[in-house]
Amino acid sequence: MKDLTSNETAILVAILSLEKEAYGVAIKDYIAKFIHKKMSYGTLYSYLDQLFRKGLVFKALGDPTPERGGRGKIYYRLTREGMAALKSAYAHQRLISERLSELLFDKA
Amino acid sequence: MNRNSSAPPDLAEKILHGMNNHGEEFAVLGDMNEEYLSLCKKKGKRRARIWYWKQVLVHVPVFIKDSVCWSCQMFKNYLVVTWRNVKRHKGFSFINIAGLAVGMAACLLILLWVQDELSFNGFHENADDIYLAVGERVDHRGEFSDETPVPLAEPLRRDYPEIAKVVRFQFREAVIARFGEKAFTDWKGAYVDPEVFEVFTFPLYKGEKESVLKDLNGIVLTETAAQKLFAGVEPVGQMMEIEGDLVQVTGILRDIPKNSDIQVDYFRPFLSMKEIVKFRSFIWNWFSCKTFVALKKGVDPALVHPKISGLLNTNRPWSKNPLDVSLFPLKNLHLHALGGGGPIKYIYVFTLVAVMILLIACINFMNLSTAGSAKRAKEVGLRKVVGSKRLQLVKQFFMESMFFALLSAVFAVVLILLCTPLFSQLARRPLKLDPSDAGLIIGIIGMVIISGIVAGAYPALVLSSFRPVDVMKGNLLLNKGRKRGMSATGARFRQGLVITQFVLSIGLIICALFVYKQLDYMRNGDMGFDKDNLVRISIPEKHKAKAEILKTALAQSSNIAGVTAYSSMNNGGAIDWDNASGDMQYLGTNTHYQMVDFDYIETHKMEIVAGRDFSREFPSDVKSAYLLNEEAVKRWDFKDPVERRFALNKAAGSVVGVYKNQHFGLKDDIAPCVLYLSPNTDWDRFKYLTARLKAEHIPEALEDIKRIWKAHIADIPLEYHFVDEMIDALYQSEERMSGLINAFTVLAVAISCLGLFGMASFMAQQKTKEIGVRKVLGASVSRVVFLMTKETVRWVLFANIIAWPVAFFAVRSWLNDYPYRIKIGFEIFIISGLATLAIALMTVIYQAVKAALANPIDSLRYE
Repeated sequence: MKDLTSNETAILVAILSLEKEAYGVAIKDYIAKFIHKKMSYGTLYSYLDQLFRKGLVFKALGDPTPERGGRGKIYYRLTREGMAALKSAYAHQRLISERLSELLFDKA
Repeated sequence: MNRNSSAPPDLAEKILHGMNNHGEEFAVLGDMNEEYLSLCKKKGKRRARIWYWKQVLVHVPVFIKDSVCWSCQMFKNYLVVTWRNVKRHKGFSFINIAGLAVGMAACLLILLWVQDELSFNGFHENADDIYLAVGERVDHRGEFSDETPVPLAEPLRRDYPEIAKVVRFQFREAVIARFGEKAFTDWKGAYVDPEVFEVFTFPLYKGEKESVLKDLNGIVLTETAAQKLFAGVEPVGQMMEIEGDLVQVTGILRDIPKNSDIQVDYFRPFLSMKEIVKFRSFIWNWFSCKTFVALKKGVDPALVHPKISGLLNTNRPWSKNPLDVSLFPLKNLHLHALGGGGPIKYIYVFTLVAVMILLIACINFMNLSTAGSAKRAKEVGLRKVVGSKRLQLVKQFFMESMFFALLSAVFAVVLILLCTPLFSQLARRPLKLDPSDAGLIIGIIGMVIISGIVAGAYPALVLSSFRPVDVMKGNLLLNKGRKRGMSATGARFRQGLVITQFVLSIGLIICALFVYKQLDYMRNGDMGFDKDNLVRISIPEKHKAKAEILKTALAQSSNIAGVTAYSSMNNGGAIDWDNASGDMQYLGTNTHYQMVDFDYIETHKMEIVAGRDFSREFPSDVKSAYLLNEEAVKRWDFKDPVERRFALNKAAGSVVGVYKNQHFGLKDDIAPCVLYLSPNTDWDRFKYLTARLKAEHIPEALEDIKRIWKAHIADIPLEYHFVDEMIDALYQSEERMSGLINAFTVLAVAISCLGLFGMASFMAQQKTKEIGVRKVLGASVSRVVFLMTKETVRWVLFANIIAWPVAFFAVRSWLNDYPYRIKIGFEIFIISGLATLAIALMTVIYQAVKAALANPIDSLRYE
């Protein structure tokens, strides 16, 4: 299984974090706030589709609300594979971080 | 712009919607809506709207790029698929492409020729303002004279400010040119006014336009003529002999472009013409030169007509034949006859033929594509299942037909390049493809696009309409009451197409046959004299005294059956009869009279129908006998012509006999003709000798002629022509048309057969099961063949029924232009019908027999 890119990881983290409220606007805001990345809806949704096709997230249809001009939301949730992918991504990143911190900060 | 002031901008939303078409765009739109509202609250409506628009617009370029990329991808896929199809069904594709290519090539060739003909005389810079002065008979409207008297140019130049310049042309043929040892006897030239190069754009390349023809001793040669005569020596400044006059070369022309009616080897100044000097006092009487008028730019000739129309009449007060002067545009001279009509009708006919051929080829393509579509059914079904929309399929098949069209066009161009020599021969003119001709390129591209669309529309629609369910189940070929393609209505449409092809082909065959018959009749019908083995020799002016001697010498040859001498034909003239009134009756520009000798009727084997021939037994014949032809008697209403008093141009005499009309080819109306034995006009002299050669000794006879000529005339080479060849030469335009129509008829029939072949193979496929069942039930091979071919027979018969009336009217209206025409007989229609039937059957029989011989086991296996 291929490694997750950093954007994909970011999105998965957002979905995990938002639990039952993981939909377009919320994910976008979360990423902007906590991961300091500005993603447009276009990018976001193409990643979400990709993740869906890879089987890392579920899609669920929500009720329409007036704020959305009468359109429904699509909620995303992590699948088991998604969870596994996140964990392995975390592990990799930790390894890298540790190595990096040694190289970058121990020298000083 | 909003229905609700707190909703995001309508337009922007719509654009966003348009860019997302994957079915889940509501999610994005909803998200955008939410954020918009929250932005409205946080930063106000203006900021919110700006943000929204920004989001949308930023994505437009990406969207476009993606669409383009995907389109390219699909395009690549379509190309690959098309190519694979072509390879898989090589025979089929080849027939399709070949048919279309041939059709395109034919169409293009014709259009090239048409374009060439239409461009005649157009290359002169001022062509739009140049006109020919013509005279029209007031009491016989429709009778024109394209030649006008020499002095007409004076008042035209002098008195009319609308007229910028006037240039006269007097043409000469069979002119003798000499330089040193070289001599030529076949030069053509013209006497022209010196302003000729300012009015017409003849490519003068040595010499100054204004002055090159000022000197009366000057002559301007074309490059080829100069090359022939001077070969290597610098011609300008040299002295040479032309028509017996010593002249100096003052200029050289590049060769005159082929699309000019004025083709000469040289130009000489008009005023150097000897007759001008000699016949000063007669010139208003003599309609002898072509007077071209150049109007000031943009002047409307209609304004000038009323001013000049009386010019001829005021200057010819003695004439009983008033003529109106008018201006005829230079550009129309080639194709339009003065009185209307002319070869322009051929242009229309041929353009029509070109379009018809292209149509046949496109119909073919449509039919073959649709018929072969059963093979593509699976592909279409699969594509639809995988998610292709109908529009995409339509695009795919359109693209395919464009591809075919393009491929065909390439082949067509190759074909044209190969055929250009052949076509040039048929059309009697050199034709070539000019790659730098923008019009040509546009024309070809246009043709490709149009054929691609026309030919591709129907198959595209049919093929894209298959339902995957039907395809997978194999129900495609059954009539399930569907509207298109394989259903009954679809089949009918295709049958209609085949029938149309046959109608066009049959029509062409009929016309081709009639044209051939008429041509044959015109060339070989009864012309009132025996034209075989007659040789005509022209006697040069210089040696006119030797006519008698030559004649006697020739008559003595054992290889020659008879000789006669005569003058050239004169036109017009005045007769008077009854002498009582003393009035001269003008005969009209179309009356011929000619000086002949006693042996004229004999040698030509003409027939005397009343009275007698000229005869040496009546010495008075020499001065006062006239022979009239039947037409003269008819036209002038002479009740009792023989022994009637008759005077031509004041030479009194009487009619001794009437002879059967002598036609030179049956193309034009016969004119009244008067023959006499002693000179009637100032220029009557024996100009021609015609000898009838003995059929078994033709080469010897020719030798005798050459020998005798050389013995009496040393300095001028002999020129002779066979009369029947001369007559044939009159039919150039008809012959051309005949050749072209024949060629294109063959093409049309070939293309139709290609189409029929395709249809037949499709039908054979369709009916495999049916035939299998029939055979199992006991049908014989011949019965099956009959079943397969009876459709074809029906179609051809039906096509005949439609084609016959149409062809009939077309042929009749064409024949009406000919005063002597064949009867429209039934045989030709029947022959064409049968021929088409035979060809159609031959095309279909292969498929039919193959299908009939098939083993029923194989065809029924898939049940």
